[in-house]
Amino acid sequence: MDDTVIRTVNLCKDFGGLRAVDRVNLNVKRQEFRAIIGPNGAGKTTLFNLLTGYHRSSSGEIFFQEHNITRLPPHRVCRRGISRTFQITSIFQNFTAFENVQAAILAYEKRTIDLVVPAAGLFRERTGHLLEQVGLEGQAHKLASTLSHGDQKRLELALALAGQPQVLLLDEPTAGMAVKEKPPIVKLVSQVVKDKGLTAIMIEHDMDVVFSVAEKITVMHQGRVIAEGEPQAIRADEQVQAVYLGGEVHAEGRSPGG
Amino acid sequence: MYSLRGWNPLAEASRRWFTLAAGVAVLALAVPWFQPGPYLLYAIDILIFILFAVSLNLLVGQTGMVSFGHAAYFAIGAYCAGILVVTAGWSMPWAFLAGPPVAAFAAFLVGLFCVRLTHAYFIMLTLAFAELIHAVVWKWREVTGGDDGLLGVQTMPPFDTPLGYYYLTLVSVTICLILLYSISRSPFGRICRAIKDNPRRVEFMGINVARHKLMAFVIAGFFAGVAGDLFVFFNRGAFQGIANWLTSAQGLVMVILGGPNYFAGPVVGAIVFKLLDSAVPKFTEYWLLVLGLILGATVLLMPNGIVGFLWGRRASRDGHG
Repeated sequence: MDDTVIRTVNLCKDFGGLRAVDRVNLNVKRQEFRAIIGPNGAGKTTLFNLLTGYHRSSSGEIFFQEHNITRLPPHRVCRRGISRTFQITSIFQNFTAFENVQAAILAYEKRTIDLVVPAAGLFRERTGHLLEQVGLEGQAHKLASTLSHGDQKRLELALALAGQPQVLLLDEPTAGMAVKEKPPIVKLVSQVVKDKGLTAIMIEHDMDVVFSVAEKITVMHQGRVIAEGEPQAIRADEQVQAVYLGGEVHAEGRSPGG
Repeated sequence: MYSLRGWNPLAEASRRWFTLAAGVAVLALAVPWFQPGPYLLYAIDILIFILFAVSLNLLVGQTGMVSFGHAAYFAIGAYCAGILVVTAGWSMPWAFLAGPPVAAFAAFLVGLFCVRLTHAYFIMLTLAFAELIHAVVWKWREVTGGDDGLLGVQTMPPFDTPLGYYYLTLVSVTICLILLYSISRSPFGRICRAIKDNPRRVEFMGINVARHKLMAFVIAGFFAGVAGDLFVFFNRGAFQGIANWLTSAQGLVMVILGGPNYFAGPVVGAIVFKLLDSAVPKFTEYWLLVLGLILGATVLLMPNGIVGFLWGRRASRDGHG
């Protein structure tokens, strides 16, 4: 178990009478790239909300490096080293890209109760470096709301990375993007994850994306995990094909694990 | 390195601000020479409400917390200092120093209940607490004087003349504005604006959003307390009306009129509001009607307030070369 970073035990979440997450036992190893797939309403995002403390679990436990984090609020979970991105890009629209990242670094460095020093002059080097890493150095002083969709996704990734996380939760990193825009983002994400030695858990609908980066896939359906394993195994799993993949995977011949 | 290095908006902005501030300072210092007498009293009143409005805007414009009960902390600052002088026999300087911390403490207690709420719920609860405090001020006759007001709040030389008090107010308000400006530029202020923009993201950056909002609430309460302090010695007394919701609403009007997204917004808003407030009733008894029309026109024609309107026009003119 020493290699396990995130572990859930019989994790459940009820919304009224609906069980959105049902007895999920997740086990993610250090530096693993995990994909979570499943049809809409399968409970994937709810699972993320549980892992990050945004929702409180109805029952079950969550462990991060064998520390129980089940009842921690989001800001404490973040401090432990779990960052996330959202399906609907969550950035500061009224800040420039630079100010966005700078704010995230200020937060990580716990400088935010400083009332005196002008914020604009702090951590400029690091902010610039992080923007460079996600390929936004040319857009640094544009208002975030004026950035293209893809660049906003990059910016959100930078915000998540500013917290120097060990685990990165990515909720549909390519949601709403044109087919052409996707490969650069996917490449960036997998590059960053590899370079920084992160553990990544990604929710994704695009099977091309999933099979190009995931080392292991968890399939959810109606709140439950119905299958888990290496990409080839998932591709071959009949139950998975029945509820989700349909025939499309067979027709598609990309090699997994890239 | 790329172009980040040469870019320094701070120096640029502060140069512009410095020029502006120096101009305003010279003007403010000169007021007594060319406008002695009653206008000096107007000027004091305006300065006090500038501070009140700017302290409110730390919540409204910067953190996105629309407090409808800011008068409570103004009144607590005023009554605390006033009661200490009248009842406890303290001298002015000590009573003056005691007001703001007490107002901040009251804001802390109220904030504990309010900061987790958002939107209409936050507005309603801040209003409810303010009305509660108003009721205490109004009904606790033995201590506050109730309807009759708190009378006989003595000042001391050299602040017992209009000129002396003008300079006291000018210096106090200037110091407070500098502090508030520096807070707005600080990391704390940056996170406040981040919270206004996207509180969830701030939470997921590892910040305790509720605690941060509570701190903003306390700071705003403190500076409202300073304004109340200045008010009570200026008027040599306090009246229950300053604690009621109309005073809170006036603060919001000043903020919206001037432009909540600019530090100078509530400054301009307070000046314009106070000038209208003293000028319009001379021409018509329908002051509130006129105020309503002006406010309506402002919101419709200048959604970013007077400062936003002027600033925006200038920016686009600059854009055309």
